[in-house]
Amino acid sequence: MEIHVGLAASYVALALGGLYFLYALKYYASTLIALSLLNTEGQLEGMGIQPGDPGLGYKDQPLVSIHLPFYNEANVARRIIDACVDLDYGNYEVLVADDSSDQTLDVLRDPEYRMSRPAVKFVHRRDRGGFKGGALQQALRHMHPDAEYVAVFDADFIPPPDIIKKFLSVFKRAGSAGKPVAAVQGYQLHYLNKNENWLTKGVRAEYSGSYMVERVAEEALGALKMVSGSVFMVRADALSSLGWTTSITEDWELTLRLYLEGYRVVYTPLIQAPAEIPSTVSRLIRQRMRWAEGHTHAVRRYFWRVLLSDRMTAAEKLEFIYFAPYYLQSLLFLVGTVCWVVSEVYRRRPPFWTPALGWGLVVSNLLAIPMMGLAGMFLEGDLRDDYPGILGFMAVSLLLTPYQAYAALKGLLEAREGAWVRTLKTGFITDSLIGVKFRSLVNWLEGLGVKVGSRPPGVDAPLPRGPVRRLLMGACVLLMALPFLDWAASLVVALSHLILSDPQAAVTWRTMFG
Amino acid sequence: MGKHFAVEQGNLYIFTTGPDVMLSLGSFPEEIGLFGADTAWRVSPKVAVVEDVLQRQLERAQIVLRLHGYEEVSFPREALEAYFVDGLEHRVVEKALGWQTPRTPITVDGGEED
Repeated sequence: MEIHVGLAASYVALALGGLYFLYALKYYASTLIALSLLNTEGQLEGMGIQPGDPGLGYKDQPLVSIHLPFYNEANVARRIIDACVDLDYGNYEVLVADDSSDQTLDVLRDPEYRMSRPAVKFVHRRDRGGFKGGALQQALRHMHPDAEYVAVFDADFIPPPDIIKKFLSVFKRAGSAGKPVAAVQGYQLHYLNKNENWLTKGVRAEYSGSYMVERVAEEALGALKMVSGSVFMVRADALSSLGWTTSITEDWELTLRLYLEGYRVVYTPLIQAPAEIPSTVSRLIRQRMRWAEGHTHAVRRYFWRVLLSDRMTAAEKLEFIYFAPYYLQSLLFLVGTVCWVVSEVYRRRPPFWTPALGWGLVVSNLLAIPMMGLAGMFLEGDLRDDYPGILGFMAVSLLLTPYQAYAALKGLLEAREGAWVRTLKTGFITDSLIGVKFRSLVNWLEGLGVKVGSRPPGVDAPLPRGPVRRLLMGACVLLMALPFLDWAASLVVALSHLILSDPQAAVTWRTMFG
Repeated sequence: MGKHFAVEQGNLYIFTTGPDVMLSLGSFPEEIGLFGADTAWRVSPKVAVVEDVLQRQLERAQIVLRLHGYEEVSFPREALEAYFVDGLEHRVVEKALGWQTPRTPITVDGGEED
């Protein structure tokens, strides 16, 4: 009995390790793509990430409606509204969709905002029906009828003055070829309090990998890209016709519905809005559990519709298949680990299994996402300052695993989603010199021969990054190949032992190799 | 041009036209509960809307509004909603106000003015 249990556990562990390795391969490939793609000017333009002034005259400026969903945002409400009324654009409105019951209401009642230009409209609901999606639907209902685009920012973000022009620029450049572009997603630069503690440093590294590497690769491959809840602009007609849903991951559901309607989403890392990072473990856990549950629940509801859709490309469907069990990975990780331990206890392994293969898989799988984070920070020019965050990131990933696993399972099995648990924003800032980091991006692009318009005064020459880039790419290739190399090495060793233990084979061996 | 309010289908609409500036929402005592957490309300530079306003709230709000020179008018709800949404008073409000007659003003103590 023990033999069977041990052997079965070993097969399950190997299968799940292999499945996890497929994800790791994708992460390594994304890292390689991002690091290499960004050398190619044509690819950058093709991705619609060339920044600069789109040169829109006032008459060419379409009306943009900025929607800000609030729920008890007293610490940050004034900051985001003030940032939004100060944008460098001539034709827009700001619409706050508020569900608050705290001092945020004092901000909304402030007579100063009755005088502001552009106009600021506040819509307060007495309840949170439909959560963020419900609030945004209210905003949609009350936006200016002539609005052509809707931009959404969460309350803890600080959009820079040129952000509307940049969004419109990408729409303009990306809209001419292929499927119609419904939305442009920018980089949620979780940065403002990155040095608050080990957790914020870790999450900063995580976002860097996701937004500078993974999504860049998805954009390059024409894969499905997600509208991520904040820092995005969407065509008002597309959004109005679909409307917001009341999912606890309303952004993911909107993404799927846009693709099912035949639209696509464009991602660019060069539209950035700095934001706050959840600074306590409990807040981060609650946020990620919501994501895991809502994401998996939506996958369950849309799975076959997406796969059978005739409006989605193969690349988009493939990305969906990859992304669908994203949070269920946590569950698989836990099951795989338990099975691994069981098989070790009973000392049972598949016949082709070697310890080197096992450890090769473990190391390769473990380092895949941290490598993306490292590459992301490297591409942003922050590697020197922020690399310790990688350790925090690895710790965070392990810490979140059981919670995400539970929430993903809940989303998969339960008929209805749970309630939206908000992530408290504190307004705490540790790193306000965000402009310096933007400059490093300008450096980076200019170093690649991309014209980015007039260069800001005081910008230094591009840093020499060739050796680091090559080092990171080499590490990726090595880690991708590690399990195979380990396995091959084990086989050679085993073969050697076999040959050397056979007298006749040993003679042959010595003859051949001296 | 002016400062007006209207009660249409249970909603209280407070709106201004021309150079008149919307009164501060802080002018309404908290006890009325017009612009608090438990009420659905909206405000733009020119229009404030309280949805499903209670009679008790309305009576007190009218006192505050009249104290600040607001006149009650009868006005199509659709026009008021459009005014909130696009803020275009020339297209919506003034045109409509041309055929509206303000209702008889009521003094704070409830008696009619001269």
